Amino acid sequence: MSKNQQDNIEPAKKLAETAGRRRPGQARSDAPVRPPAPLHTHNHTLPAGLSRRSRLIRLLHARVFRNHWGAWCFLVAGLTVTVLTSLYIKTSVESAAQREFDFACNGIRIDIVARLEAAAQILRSGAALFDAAETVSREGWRTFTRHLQIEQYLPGIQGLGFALLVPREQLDQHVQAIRDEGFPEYQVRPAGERDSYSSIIYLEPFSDRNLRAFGYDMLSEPVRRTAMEWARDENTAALSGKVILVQETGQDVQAGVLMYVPVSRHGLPIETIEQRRAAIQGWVYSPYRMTDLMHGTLGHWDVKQTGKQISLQVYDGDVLSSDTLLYDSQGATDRAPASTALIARLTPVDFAGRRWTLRFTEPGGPVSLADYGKAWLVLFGGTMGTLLLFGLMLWRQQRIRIYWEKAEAGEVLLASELRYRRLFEAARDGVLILDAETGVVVDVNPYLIELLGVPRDVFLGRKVWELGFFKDLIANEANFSELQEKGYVRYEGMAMEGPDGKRHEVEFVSNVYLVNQQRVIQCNIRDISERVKAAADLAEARGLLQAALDCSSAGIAIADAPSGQLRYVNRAGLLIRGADEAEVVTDIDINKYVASWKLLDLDGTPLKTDQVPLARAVLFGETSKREFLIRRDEHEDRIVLANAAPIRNTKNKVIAGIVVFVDLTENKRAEKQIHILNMELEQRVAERTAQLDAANKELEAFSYSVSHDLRAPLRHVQGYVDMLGREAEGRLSEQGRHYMKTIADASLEMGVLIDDLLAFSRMGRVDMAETRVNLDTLVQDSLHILEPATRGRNIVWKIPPLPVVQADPAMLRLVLDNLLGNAVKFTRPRDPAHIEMGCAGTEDGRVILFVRDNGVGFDPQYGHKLFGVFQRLHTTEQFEGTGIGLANVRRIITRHGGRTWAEGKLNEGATFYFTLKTAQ
Amino acid sequence: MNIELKSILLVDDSPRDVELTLNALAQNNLANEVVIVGDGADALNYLYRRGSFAARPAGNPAVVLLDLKMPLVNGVEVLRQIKSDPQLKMIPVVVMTSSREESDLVTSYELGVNAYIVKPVNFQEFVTAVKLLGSFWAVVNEPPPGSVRPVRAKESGR
Repeated sequence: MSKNQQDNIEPAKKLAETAGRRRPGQARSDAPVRPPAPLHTHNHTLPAGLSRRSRLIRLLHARVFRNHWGAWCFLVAGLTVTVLTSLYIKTSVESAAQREFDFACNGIRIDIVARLEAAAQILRSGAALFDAAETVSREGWRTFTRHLQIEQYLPGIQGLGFALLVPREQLDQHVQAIRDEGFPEYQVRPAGERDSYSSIIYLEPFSDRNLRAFGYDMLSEPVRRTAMEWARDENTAALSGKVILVQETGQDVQAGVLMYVPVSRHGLPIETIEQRRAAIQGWVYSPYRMTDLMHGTLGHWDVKQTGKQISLQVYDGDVLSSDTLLYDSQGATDRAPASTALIARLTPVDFAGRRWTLRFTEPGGPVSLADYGKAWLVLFGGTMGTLLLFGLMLWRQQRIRIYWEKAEAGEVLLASELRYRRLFEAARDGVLILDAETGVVVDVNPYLIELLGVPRDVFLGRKVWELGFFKDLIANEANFSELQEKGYVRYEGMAMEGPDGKRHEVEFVSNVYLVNQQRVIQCNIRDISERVKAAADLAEARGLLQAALDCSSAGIAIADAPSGQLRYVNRAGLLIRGADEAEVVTDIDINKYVASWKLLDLDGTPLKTDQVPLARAVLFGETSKREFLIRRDEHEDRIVLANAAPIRNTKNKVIAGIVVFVDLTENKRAEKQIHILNMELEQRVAERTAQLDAANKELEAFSYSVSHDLRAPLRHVQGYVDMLGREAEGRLSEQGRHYMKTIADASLEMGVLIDDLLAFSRMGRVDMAETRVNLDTLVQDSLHILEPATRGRNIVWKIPPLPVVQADPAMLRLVLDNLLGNAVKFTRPRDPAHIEMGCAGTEDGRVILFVRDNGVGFDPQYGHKLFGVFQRLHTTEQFEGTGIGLANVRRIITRHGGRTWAEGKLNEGATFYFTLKTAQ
Repeated sequence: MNIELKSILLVDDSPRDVELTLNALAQNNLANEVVIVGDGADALNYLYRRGSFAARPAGNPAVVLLDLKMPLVNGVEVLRQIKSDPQLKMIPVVVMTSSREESDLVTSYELGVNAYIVKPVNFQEFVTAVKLLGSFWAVVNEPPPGSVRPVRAKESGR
């Protein structure tokens, strides 16, 4: 390990140890307060992590400021855009207003010029009148002016007059002439000596103010004189400068101007100035009160138009001053030019030798606030919006900053971090987080801890290959290097072993990724032990099943449903078919399968598909069985019994069919053989039975003969002995009588023997009729029969109540007669004799009965002979008997399904046992 | 003795048995009218009065003592014939035989035998049995109509 690596590991180890000390066993509970740093470390709370922490803080600050700069940039950009937009809109509005204003001004100028032109034309008309007529009387002038209807058509013109040039030498004459006309007060004003005079002699309408001008010498006043002389010299209309008209009364004084048109004397040449000066007779003129003129001219316009109030000042000449102000639409004629106007336009009007300057202004600005509405709206709205967003951004950054500060203080976990943390904690995979550079475990999730049963602090700070849990692959540095290079490794079926020695098969996937410029490795470890085991179990089960299928002596075939494709045929199946695997076609449908396997009905006709059990299972999901033939070749058919059933999936859908078929050919053959043998056997049995019947018949005939024919001679012997005795009464000696008695006794014994033999023989043949038998009653009957033999004997009987049994009463009676009779007989030497009968338990569900006596007993050595026919253990002299009684007992008990045996000793009595079914 | 003895037909192929029977009857003074025939065929001849008995006087014996095991026609055949013939079936028939065979007993009673006696081997018992038999059938019992009532002929019948 290099020095560098050690340096990297040491703090982490310390960290792990410290964490272990601080919070033993609380690895999980501290998780939620971990900072959102993508590396899952505990650094923030620990000295060991200070350098990292400060770096973190720097990072946080950088983020915050960067984000603040964003907000500020946004603010500036937003406001700039807003202002520019507003300015643009304002400019648009203003230029539109300017265009409107210019248009309006132009209209006004044209109107004024037109009015002046019209006024000049009237004056020229008046001049023309003087030129046309030699003289124009006062009355004529009045008529002329009246026809002009000036008040109606050209309002604002103060009047239309004629000023006569009066040379000085003619002044008095002139005054006299006017006075003669009826104006005695008339004189030319102002008085005084001048080179020439002019006098306003006509002025219509001749009333009111105009009367004040009557007789006024306009040449006496320089402004007027200038205009008058210019008109004369140029022979044109001339407009005067600013004057105060003589008509002014002191009230409503208006600036005034006058316009003159020269009138020459009739017939005189006026080509040159001198000629004109010489020919001049007077001037037709009009005085104009400027305000009235302008109102008359612009009266229809001098109101708000399209919401605008354009004010107009008219100045005489180029100089704008109160002295030159002719007209002010605002009313105050002497007012100084408004400097507050936002927009003003000066338009010179040159007319009749004079220049007027029209000054148009829009009071309060050329464009109203309302006109700026859109611009204001944009400006205001944009500013507000920008400010709002800016505020929001600041607020959000502030929040984020607070979050980060809190997070940095370990107080809060970001939601996303929390989510991933939960995932990490709850994952059902083991997760290891490694430092990619060093391989040191930085974090481990609870699942892996639980899986390996190792405390958390064992993982932390160790290198993954030092843990020793992973047996192969990444267990060494080389593999780790591989991971570092490739960035992704995946190992399947890797062994992982915890300290408890429990081995897990795991799937190990790890990959490298960048977190915060730092490379980390996440290892996901999935425990696939169960899966591996399940797969192994499955394989084992499959193997078992396969082995079972392969080894089954029954043929087994499996076909897919619904295609009917044969999927599998086991070895036995192939054997039955008589084919090897190569011959069996497995990729054909069910119809072809039936044909290819040559399945025939038992009568040899080919089976239809729906007659084949496997096909029925596949096609109809039916369980069925059938016997049919499989034709191996021309010469050999195999008989099979096939049982087929469908195989269903969990949804009860038929997915395959299975048939198990057994080759019955050999069985059938054997069956046939057995049948033949049985037939033969039956035949033989019948023959034997017939023989037996015949033998039986013979035996019966024999016993009959014995019974009848053997007894007769005995009876004859007895009869004749008796008769002989009677005949030779008194003549026979003692010896003779003894012989006779012996003959009689012998024949008697012979009779008994015959009777016993016949009874024995009959016992083997007669039908049994088993019924409930009361043993007590039967015993009493027997004892009654025995009474002659017991007479005079001292016998102690001990017979307790006996059970009810199932037996043939007649036969059982014979048993009891024999056994009890024997007991009586063989106790003859005893005084007293003890005879006991009773029950000695059960055997095989049968009751064991016994008869015991204290008689002469028998030598056990010969005990096995006791029950044989004609077997006797005593001489006839000792105890009479034929040796058939016990044989009969055994035969009867055996026929009842029981058994007999005897116990005894010589001279110490005997016990005879027999078993019987108890009554149902 | 003034006892009225009725005739007895004794059917037995064994001369010794016949002798013993007669002896027993004689011991009890019952051997009055005993007709003896040696086989079943003769017995039927007698009863039907044919063959060698064609000339005999009409009338049936008071009782027939019948042995079973006989040559030619055995006792069972004779019994069957007697009991199936309306003319003869009223005649009391007593089987006297050496056989204790159950089948014989059953067959005899099925055919309608009136009594069945197994001849005891012991002669005294035989004598007793014959005495009881003879005194009952030949003396006490009233035979059906048509039975022979011959005069007492003590010495005849042999």
